Amino acid sequence: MAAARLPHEIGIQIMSNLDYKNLARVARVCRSWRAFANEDTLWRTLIARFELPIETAGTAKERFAAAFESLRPIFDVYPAVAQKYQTLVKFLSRGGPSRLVESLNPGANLEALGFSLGEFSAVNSPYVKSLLAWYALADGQKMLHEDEDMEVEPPALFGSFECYGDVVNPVWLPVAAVQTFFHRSTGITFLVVGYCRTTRFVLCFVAKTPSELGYLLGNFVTLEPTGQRYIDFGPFGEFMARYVDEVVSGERSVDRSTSEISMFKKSGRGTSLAVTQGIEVHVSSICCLHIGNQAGQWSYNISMRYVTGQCPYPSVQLESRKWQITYRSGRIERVEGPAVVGHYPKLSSATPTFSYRSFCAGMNRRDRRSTNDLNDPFPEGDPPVSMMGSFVFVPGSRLHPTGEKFEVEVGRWEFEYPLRILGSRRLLTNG
Amino acid sequence: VDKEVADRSVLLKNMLEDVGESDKPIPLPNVTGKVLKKVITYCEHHRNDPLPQPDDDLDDTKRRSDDIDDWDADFIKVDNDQLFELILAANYMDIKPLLDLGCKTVANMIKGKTPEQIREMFNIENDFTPEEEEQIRKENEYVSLPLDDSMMLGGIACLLYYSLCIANQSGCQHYHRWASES
Repeated sequence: MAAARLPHEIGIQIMSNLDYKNLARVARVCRSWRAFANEDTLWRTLIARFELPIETAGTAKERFAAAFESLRPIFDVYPAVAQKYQTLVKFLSRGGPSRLVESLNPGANLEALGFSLGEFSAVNSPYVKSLLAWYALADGQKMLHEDEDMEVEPPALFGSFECYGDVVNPVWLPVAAVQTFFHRSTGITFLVVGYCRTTRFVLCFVAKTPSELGYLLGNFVTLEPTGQRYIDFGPFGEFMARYVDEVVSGERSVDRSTSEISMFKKSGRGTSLAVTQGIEVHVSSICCLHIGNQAGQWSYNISMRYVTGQCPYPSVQLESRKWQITYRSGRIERVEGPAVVGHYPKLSSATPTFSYRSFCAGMNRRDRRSTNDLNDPFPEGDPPVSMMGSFVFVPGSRLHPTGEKFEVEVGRWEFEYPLRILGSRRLLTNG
Repeated sequence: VDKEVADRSVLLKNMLEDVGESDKPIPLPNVTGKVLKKVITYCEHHRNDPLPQPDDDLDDTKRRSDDIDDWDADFIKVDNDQLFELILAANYMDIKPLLDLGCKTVANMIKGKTPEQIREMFNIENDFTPEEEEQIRKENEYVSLPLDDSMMLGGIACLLYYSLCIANQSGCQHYHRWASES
């Protein structure tokens, strides 16, 4: 029958539709099919598709097998993660050299990967595997200017922002610097994969949990230096895929000059968007995890945009701002004043955008009474819950107004709170 | 057969260009009448598709074997002998989309099957000696073994090796202290 006597090129074309597992099975069928399945071109294609770091000699299949051996724990999720990683690198490489791309080490030192993360490679979770796969692709971030100035940080893969003068710039650690951190009160083991030198918070990965906290396993979190509060980004694989999509789709802005990705989210909790008379105001806020910050503080980014064709005036200038901040205790604070951060931005179709950063902090409670709530990330403080406001704009300019002043709404946004590690256990027992 | 239909086959297209338009029959010695009928059915259905370009091979996304449309899937539901004859005819007549369809179909039949199931399905004789079989099994077992133990025990807990550039930073030293105190 025809199957065993296929011309070689047809046999290979059939095999080119198969993955490595099926090829390994086909090689055991018969002599002629073995020749198809062992064909060098097929395995060279697989090596290229998996972007395997190949150093060993031998046939393409032997080299694939050797690389496979070293990557075994992560192989099933590797292609999907590699695709996301390449998407990010390609996107950042477009438009000139990027410090961020340069700072990413091209591929892991696999021996180091097997050694320091080996314990976790046995955890049978796709999220753990996707973290390992990401590490196999980007082994932390290289220090640029290694010889000269140790103070120069590599650009931050997960963005950077400023809060009360501190530059928050978490850096993805090289695999050799990854370490575990055991949180005694909850029994959670974190794998620390990133670090912010200024604020000392860390990016970590929940590597082991007691069974009742199993829902945290594999989640990617930012942990406060004291190990009490954290912000949860969800399972690493999902976080990374979402993050790359947001960067590529422009939802997270990339600063080409510093090659940094904005940490501020475009939409969802912690953000707001409002348009009044063709002036669009977008707000995005981030909780800052700082040491000794018991009342909470948030950094927010305000972007205003002149929408050409919607604004009835050819140009407008900001004159003053009004804020209304609601605190958890019910206290409402109203702030009013000229300008924003010392500026009176002029907007027109020629200069349509202006953005600035500012901060909002909670107050320490005067009575110092603790709420005694294990879930409360700010037991001794009165943190802000939400904020809203408006800007007053003048058509034309402040000195030469061409019309009546008008108020532009700044939509209400809610501040996102961190979670409290000690509260995790209680959260669960409460259902 | 219309020229548009015949053009699906690069072999026929080239022959027609060589001999010019004519009503003379073109001999196809390697294709049986029954299979040729099937091939013509395929070409008639796809007469308006764009002809494949030479560089289509480079496009990796085209290599997916699960992108067969309904008509094609129904068309290719034939017995195994006929399937291989179709593939051979498509190869001889140089009809790339039909060849791709045939190859993908065979690949889909192979997926997830054991070597023994594959032999049975396509009526292939196992022509390995027992020694060879053992050797080949070893060669290919790397994808089916569970994790080996040394990998699990390899790295335990905290790794105290730091790359120089990280360890030299005061911030990180502080962090070590915090991590060991906590």
